[in-house]
Amino acid sequence: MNCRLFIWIGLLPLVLMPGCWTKDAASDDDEAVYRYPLPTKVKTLDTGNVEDVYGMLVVSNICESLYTYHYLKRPFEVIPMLAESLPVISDDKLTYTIRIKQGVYFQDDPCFPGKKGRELKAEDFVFAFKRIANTRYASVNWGAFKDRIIGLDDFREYTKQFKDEFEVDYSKEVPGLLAIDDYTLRIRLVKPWPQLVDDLTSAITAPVPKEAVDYYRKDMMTHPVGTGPYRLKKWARSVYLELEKNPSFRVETYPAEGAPEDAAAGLLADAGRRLPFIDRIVFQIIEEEQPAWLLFLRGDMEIMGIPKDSFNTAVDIQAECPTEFIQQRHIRLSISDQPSLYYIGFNMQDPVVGRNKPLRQALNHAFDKDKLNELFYNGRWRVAHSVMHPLMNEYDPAIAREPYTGYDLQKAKWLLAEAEKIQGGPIPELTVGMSGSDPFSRQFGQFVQRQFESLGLKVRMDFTDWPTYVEKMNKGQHQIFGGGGNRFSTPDALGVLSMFATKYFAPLGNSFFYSNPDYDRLYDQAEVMFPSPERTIIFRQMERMVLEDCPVILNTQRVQYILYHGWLENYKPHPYLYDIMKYIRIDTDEQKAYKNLEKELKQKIKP
Amino acid sequence: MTDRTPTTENSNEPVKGRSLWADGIRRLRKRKLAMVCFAVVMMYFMLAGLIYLNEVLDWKITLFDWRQAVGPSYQKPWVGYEWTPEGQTAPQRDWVFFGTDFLGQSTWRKMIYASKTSITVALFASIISILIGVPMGAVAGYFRGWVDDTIVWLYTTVGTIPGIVLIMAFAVVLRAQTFFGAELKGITAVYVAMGLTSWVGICRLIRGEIIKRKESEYVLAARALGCSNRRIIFKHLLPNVFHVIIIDFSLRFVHFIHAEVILSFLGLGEADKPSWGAMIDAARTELARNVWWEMAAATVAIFVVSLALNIFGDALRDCLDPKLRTD
Amino acid sequence: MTAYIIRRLMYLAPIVFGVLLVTFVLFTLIGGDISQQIAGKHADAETIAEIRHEYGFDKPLFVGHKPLEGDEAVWESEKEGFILALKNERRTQMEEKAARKAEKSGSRTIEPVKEPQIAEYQAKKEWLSDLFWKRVRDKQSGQAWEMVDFDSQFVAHFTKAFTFRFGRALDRERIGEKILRGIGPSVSLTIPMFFGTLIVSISFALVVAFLRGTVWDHAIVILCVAGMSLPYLSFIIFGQYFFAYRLDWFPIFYAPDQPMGYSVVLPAMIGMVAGLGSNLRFYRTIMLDEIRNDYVRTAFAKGLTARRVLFKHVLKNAMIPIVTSVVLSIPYLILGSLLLERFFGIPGLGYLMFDAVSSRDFFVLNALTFIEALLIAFFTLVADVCYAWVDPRVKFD
Repeated sequence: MNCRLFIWIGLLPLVLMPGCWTKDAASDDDEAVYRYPLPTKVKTLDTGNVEDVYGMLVVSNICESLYTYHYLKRPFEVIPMLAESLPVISDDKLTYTIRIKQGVYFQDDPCFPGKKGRELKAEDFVFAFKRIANTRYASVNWGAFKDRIIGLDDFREYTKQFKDEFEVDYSKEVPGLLAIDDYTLRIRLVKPWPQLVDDLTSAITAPVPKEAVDYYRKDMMTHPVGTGPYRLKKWARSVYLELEKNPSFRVETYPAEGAPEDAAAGLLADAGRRLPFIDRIVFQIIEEEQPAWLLFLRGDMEIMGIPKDSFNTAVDIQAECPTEFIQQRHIRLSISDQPSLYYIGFNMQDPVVGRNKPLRQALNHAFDKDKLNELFYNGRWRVAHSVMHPLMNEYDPAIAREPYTGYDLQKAKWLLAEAEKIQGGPIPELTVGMSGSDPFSRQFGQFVQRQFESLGLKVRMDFTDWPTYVEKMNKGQHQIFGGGGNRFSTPDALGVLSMFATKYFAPLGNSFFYSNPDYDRLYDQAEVMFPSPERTIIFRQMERMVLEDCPVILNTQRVQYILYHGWLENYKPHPYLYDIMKYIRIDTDEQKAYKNLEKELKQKIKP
Repeated sequence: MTDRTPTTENSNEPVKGRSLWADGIRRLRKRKLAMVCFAVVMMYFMLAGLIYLNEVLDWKITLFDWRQAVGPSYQKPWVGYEWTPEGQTAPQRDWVFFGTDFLGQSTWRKMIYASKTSITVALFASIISILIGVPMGAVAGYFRGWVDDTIVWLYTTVGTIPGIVLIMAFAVVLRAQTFFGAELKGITAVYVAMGLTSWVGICRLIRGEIIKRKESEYVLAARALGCSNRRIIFKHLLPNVFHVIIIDFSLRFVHFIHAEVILSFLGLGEADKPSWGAMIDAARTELARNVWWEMAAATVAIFVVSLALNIFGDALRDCLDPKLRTD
Repeated sequence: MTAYIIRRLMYLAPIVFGVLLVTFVLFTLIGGDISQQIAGKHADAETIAEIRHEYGFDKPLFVGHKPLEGDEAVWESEKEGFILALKNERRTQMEEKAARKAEKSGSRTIEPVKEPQIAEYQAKKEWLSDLFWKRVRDKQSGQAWEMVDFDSQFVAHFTKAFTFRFGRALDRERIGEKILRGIGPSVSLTIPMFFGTLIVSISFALVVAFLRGTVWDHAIVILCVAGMSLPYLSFIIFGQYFFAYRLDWFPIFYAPDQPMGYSVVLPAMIGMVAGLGSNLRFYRTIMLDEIRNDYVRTAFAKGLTARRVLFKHVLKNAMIPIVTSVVLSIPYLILGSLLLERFFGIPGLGYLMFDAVSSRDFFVLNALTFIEALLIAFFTLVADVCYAWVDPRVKFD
């Protein structure tokens, strides 16, 4: 019997396997690499079309805007980035004159003559804005510029005659958007736009060199050309993104002042040193939380939000501090509020829930937010009492004590009886739209269903994929939609309130189709007001209007629990700033030592 | 086309007093293991049926009430615990067989309830595929000519597209579409997609069988007697290849159950009712907090029914179609 | 033989046509216009209209129109690529056309030809040049070029497929690039997995065939069936959790800065174990089919040793179905493994397909379906030809 042959054949794969299993030692040099897990794919790196948080997170390192927020100071302070100084605003608040820094160069790129980046000019901003206005470019960010700048809307009309975005002649002048000379930009507005400076911190408004668009055309989305501290090295779609230091980045230094507690926290140790510190940034796209978490624990990721299911291993919730498990690994915890709002929305055009205020209120009071917070966010998020976030200046702390929100099943039942009178009979089966069908959304959906069912109502969950969900939301085809969430990109609360204005009906933001003439009147009034006590009063009035009419069940507001390794220096979370990576320094020695530490700790556990 | 898979090569056997069925069933009875498996499969079917009846007639059987919270979130199996149910004040001692999920629902009940989902999907998918495949195969095999060419072209085309791709494409496209006033959603879309894509195998088999049999004496006799084509196909030919359908059905059933798991994972399956696929999928995150019982329960449930069906299907094939015997 | 191959090749045509028909019905007729979802959450009507135009949803479904006839274009080769230039006739033609139109409608004023109109024409040519790229390249510059402009979604569907220019996906990356990039990782996962399974299961099948009828045989068959009965997903989840997570023997996830082999070991092994049951059973059946043949009985009767019979006769003859099944598996190897790639983050075609399903990217699904069907059709043909070639009993009629 030829047993040997069998054995050999059987062993063959085992012999072959390790052959392709050799770790390379390329990552062993002294380069400081920052590795960051991205939970979703990045769609585009073209600043004019970026809309999601993660796209911003990447592109903000490559493309800079006129203004930015101070990294350390609290409350948040706008400081110039590409601009020389804060804008000179005319008395009627309609003309902004912005001086632009001299000697700022674009990154070296094949699109420029001689592949050398040229100097940044005011014209590049004008071009970037006009490009967003170009209909044929189909920017998702046009909404922010609509009816704001003199002549820009006309320019948009003008582009409609072309069939292709690249045929549009950008030399057509827009009176409200002028480059007076190479270093001066003048913006003239139709009506006051108090949030303009805040909005100019966004990478969406980053300058775009016309050469790049002419050169890359549609592939602009994979070839961002900016002035930032990093440039794109490699982008393997849906796998990873790699940025490297921009060698021609201008001299920019670490801030020398910060919030009072920063000096003690060692955040000012690097003051005056040249930015950026890190050589490469690697964004790895990992859609599942678990693998990312494991990579983090192994020391293959620098920073990580805590997955829901690993929360107890990481944080001692009573003491609000990291567990011993985390402390042994020198991992640090940062807790920060993120201005955001998660909610369940009603479609106000729906014949059942839209016309029945008591029904909406009943559902609102039957929804146990604390339990939601407990089950899904380990009790660590904020329970929302208002549409505005406590970090916003206009937030009224008293609102939590007012009877708009809060779990009260008795009251809910009483309201439901009212609702049935209006309906003229029992409430028909309600349908709640949910996006996604991963375990989390499924569990979330089941929770929502149980909550509503506790009133004795019949509830059907309608799980769809994200595109269908959004389409239904924009067309007003949901009855109730369960997966609402917004992250606010500026500290100004007007953005939150625009979610309920008639003129921002979906797809623009008001997915509830909530329409209240009184509210709209106040909104139009508040829109052109600069922050003032009067505006705060109007905001609070509007807030209560929404809470009373209840087009939305407010759930939670995110509190970020971020873990980062001990070798990461200068980390301070900032809710509105995306390009914080340039401030961060990596202690490469400690980073290398971690692998051994991890090994030791593991061995300690085993016996 | 040459058929390479080891399948039917039946010719008409001389009938020896006993019918094919009686003979087959007699042989099947002798196989103890196969009969046990058959009983197991029947149990699953009965369970699914009972759950249906429970829902329609509103019997309120506690075992099928998977929505009820029976303990705290992620309670370990087998271990007794104390908890306060919602709406009550006094804590009570309790015990669950297979642990609880994140909402405190019994995994055991979910597992049982999920058998309805799986059995429904597999059953309807099988029925759809048989309803499409068998008549088409029979017609193609009987008439030959252009009818045959068309049907062969059709099934070769569908067969050329990889199964999983086709099922997914169908399921994605069919979801939330409305046909004749009925909206396809959840598992309906799943089994319609599976049914519409998996008739190729049975169609090919039946066509082959019919071609072999259409020149046999009884068909010739029927034709001589002036029977209509329809009568010959449905009264004479199809009953004679019925065992092929049964064998194919029993083996395909397992395949559908497994496909449902994968589709659930892909987010194309049932979403607001328990299904084995969803339960396994939940383990992706749960394993990290050492919650293994949900995945274990679903895996065991699938394992038992698939094993039983596989063994029974093999036995059935061996007994009904002895030429196919492989053991 | 040649005639047989040619006939079989001709038989491919209706199948390819059928596949295109199926994908058209699925993704265009039923799937429909997804411009809204491409446009994203906050898009206005204009943006959506623009996207509809870009992806061709504004074209008629079946019956196309022929707005531009018999035009000639000249292709010039330049450093950066081919850039379309229009002959001056174009302008006069358009002017004539406008004049005719004005005559018909009775109006006096003849609209002057606008630059943008010429540009529009040029853009259209460029789009078409996308479709006819190959042909143009062959002819090089200066050749007159007949324009085919039967512009409907149906025609576009076919032209896209035949020219392998699938355009851009929902995320506006070229689908061709996506697919080409995915093949490498997919293949480096599936090939070790497939051949590993093949070798292990054939060796076991030989053992089992040799031991047939014994307790070992039954035990292995039962084990196979048991292996087949476990859901694939459980294998993966458990394997990833236990071997990568608990024991820390393997990487948990695809590591982009490591060689592919490093990330692929564990998924390949899991795939092997999961596929072993059904494969072993399949090959065992083949072996047993062979063993029951008369020539085996003769060989034994001649007094040959069992070893000799097994290796010299049985394995040799069983090679035919084995090779066939290998050839038939090649397209699936390219497609990769959906679940394994998804769980281990391997950026292959399976992952691409998963993405396409979850984002309802019909363009990618369409392209993948078509290419895969083409491969399967082709390799079926190859398998049949091999079979016919090896087995003298197959007649070429």
